[in-house]
Amino acid sequence: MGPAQLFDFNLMPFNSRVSAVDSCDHLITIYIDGHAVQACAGESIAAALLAAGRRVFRHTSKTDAPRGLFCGIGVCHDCLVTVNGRAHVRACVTPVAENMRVVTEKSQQPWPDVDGDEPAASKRDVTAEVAVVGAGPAGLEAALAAAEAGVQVILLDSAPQVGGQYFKRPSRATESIRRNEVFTPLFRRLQQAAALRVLTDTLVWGAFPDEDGWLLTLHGPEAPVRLHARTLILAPGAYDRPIAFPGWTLPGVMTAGGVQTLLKSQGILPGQRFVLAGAGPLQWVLAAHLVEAGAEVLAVLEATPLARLLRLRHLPALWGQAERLQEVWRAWRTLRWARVPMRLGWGVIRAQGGDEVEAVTIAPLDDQWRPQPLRAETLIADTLVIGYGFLSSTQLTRLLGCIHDYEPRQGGWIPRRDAWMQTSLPGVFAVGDGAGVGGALLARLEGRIAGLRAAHDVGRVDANALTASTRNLWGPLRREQRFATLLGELFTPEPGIYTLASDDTLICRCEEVRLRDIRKARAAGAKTLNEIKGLTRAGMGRCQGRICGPLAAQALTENTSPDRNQSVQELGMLSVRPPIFPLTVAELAQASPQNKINSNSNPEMTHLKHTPHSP
Amino acid sequence: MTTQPDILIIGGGFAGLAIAYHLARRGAKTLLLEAERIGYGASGACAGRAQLSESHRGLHMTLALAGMARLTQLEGELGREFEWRRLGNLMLIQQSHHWHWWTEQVAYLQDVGAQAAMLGPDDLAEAEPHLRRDGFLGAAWCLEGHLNPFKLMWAYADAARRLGAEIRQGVRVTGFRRVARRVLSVQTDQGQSVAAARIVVTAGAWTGKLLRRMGVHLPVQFTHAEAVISEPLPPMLHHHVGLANFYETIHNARKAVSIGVAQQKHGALLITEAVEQTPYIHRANSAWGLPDIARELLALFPALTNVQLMRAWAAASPFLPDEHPGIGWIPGLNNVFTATCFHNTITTIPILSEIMAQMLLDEHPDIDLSPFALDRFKNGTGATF
Repeated sequence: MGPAQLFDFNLMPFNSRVSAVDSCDHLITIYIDGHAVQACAGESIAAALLAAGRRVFRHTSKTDAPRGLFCGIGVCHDCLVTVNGRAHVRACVTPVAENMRVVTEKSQQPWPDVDGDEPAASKRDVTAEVAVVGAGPAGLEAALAAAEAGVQVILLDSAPQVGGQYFKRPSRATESIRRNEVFTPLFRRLQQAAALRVLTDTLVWGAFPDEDGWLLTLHGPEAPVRLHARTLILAPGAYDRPIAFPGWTLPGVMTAGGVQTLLKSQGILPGQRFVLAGAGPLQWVLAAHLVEAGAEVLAVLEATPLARLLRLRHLPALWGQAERLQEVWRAWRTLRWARVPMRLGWGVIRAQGGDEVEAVTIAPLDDQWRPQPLRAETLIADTLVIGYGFLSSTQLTRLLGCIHDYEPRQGGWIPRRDAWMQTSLPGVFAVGDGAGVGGALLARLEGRIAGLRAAHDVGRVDANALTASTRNLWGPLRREQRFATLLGELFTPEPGIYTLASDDTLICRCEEVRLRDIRKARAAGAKTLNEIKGLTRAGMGRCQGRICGPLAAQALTENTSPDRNQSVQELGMLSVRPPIFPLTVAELAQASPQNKINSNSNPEMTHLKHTPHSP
Repeated sequence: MTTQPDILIIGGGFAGLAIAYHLARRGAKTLLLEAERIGYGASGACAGRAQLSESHRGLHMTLALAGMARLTQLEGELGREFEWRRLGNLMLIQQSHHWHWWTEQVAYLQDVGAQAAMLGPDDLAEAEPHLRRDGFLGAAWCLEGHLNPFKLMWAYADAARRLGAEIRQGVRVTGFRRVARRVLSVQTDQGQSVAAARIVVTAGAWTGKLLRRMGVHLPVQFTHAEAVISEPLPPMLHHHVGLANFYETIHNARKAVSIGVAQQKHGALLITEAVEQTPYIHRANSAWGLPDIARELLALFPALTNVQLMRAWAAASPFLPDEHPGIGWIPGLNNVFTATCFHNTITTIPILSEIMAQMLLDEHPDIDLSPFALDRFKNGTGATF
């Protein structure tokens, strides 16, 4: 990434463009299903589609069901559109370009066009002492800490800019100033760190053990194809925890993270009449932002009841968290002034509509978060925002074979780490929300600790210097861990929420597998998610089980079971396989290290027989 | 199972599960232990092809034909569907010596009643319009079969359970109690000791390792193979398409790719395979396998340029030095049977498993499997019993 691009972030002007293109400073023309539409340069295709009033992005191939934007951050693979003849492009993470042809996808897919960009000639391998994957708060700090100690670092991110989900390109001036208090110094250090190379627009699709370290396989317009590194620091972040209920696949149901991205960095209000359902302060803050942006918020439903929020024993963990409490307080005040109904102990039970959300049914929840349908109410709304917390992205640590533990209050399955953030594999560190959800401050501390430790391990920092440079980090680390623990205790969904899905509800959005089929596989004797995947196809789709895996495990577990977590653990994790994001045949072929294969004879192994096409 | 099983099977792949079914059908008290989960090894990683075209003359072909006949009725027999269908296999031929070999093989296939033919370049282009046009003398075609390997295994497992067999997953056999010429019991990682009158080892690539723990050395080797699956596509491929020089390509190679591709029932292309020699069994994909498969696939099917590849996987496949299966009682032991390193596994298992069950119960099967017996490794082949 060039400095100019980063600078652009810093000087990002006030942008009040909300569900309209008139205040955009650089309009371009794109074609949506053949119709010319004005879009704002730099925004995502999803933002442009929503601004043009298009909420249905495609219809599924199996059941012809409508789909639109759901996760909004590139995880769920539901917002697929055809772009310049190229099928199944994620609209939420792909920026618009002048004269781009965007076609919403019909259930009967045409053959993927062979035209398109010529794959670039095979690009060189690169080497680093430390590779940092993910340029959010954790990855930035890790990369800086190591690079400033003189370590040769390469920092990778699939997005066009550094910053991750947290330091999103802000569209509101106040937001921009507050974020930049933190981000500007980080960014300045980023520019000054001579030993640091930043590769944005670079997707990591595989991680493999290599001689004397690790090998990452990469894809991107300017990316090298392979990166060798002695040490890996993985900071992949988190994504919204999926909750399945009837109607949750309708266009208009979106995650809080997705809506926040649209609002904050795209300046798009993706609906008019909103209902927010979830748990935790982030959705209150989001609701306040929506109100300020002019949305009608019909209700904010907080699953955790007031009585539980007000327990005194929570007080110690709030020590040192004034700024956060203030942010929540401000949001609360905004919502009060706007007379937004805030219901504690309530949740969504159903979304209804034909091709998109038209109504949302809500109900009070009992202490296990089971809905009480007799007291249900139906609200006429067009957008339902789901914010039940986050799950750690663990594809890379799982692919590498790190040991993971099931920690339901910290983001599900998370890699086991030592005090220095090192996983069970020596030389592989995991930091930030991808290693247990704890927020940006905790992520930055973890990143710094891992970066310094990695610098020590490659010989750039001696033991004394390591001790000295980390001395002041452990106290704040414990403070942030305490706070993260509190949030986890208060807002992790109770098992009743997983009773919302009925037999007919889709669990696997990609392969359209219903809870009924998953239950059947379980009843037939499948004991793990991997077996269920083999029998039902749940988890075989484009998102690689990121959405359905955790959901299936929860939905299959008896709510009343006292050792519920044990049962979820026994279902295990879905295997992670490369590529961890789908790539085309041509894109993967580019990563082939040799021009000519099959020439690598070894005369000693003359007994090698076929492994046949089938065994 | 509260009482001691008559027969204990170690390994829950095609072979172990099918044998369990036939044993249970015959009333034998059967227990199967699987270290991980059903189909964890090569059975669960395979492409689901019921192969026939490359069968050698003699016993191999006899088994393949009988197995294929059995497969066509097996969904009914087991009471569960496993997506069985007939699917042609096209072996693309680039060199004249392959053309000659396949011309003879096709004649032989026709003689034994299989549907087979040689296709010239024009026929080939008509058969698979998306295939690259140049560079092929033609292809050999043979009607084979295809199924969902998971569902076949689960159909066997289900049927076996219904007939009283017990199948336990996640129970690893860690050792054996051997006294003289008998193995009396096995130890598991759950701390149990399971005694059985007879023990069957059907652990695929792990078979050699298990047998070593009872003091038997059988030279089971293995290769590591990777495969990948695409996004679902509209119907575009009508056969399994492979290369006639498959064996030549991978023989002697430390790493090699030879493409085989078939469109699955739901539309995805299943693409095999990158082969690598490995000193230990593992299931990890390599950094080179997937890119090299993609490149070779593109060379065959330029139209696949912008088709997305979704997921790769890998498994170890076992073989014996003479490349024939190893089936029979372990020489030097009175009560241990093994079956591994099959040819055309999916095609032959439906018939082999019944024969093996008969052997295990001292019945007299119609087909004699003694050519696959293990005593062929007794002299000078590195085996110790």
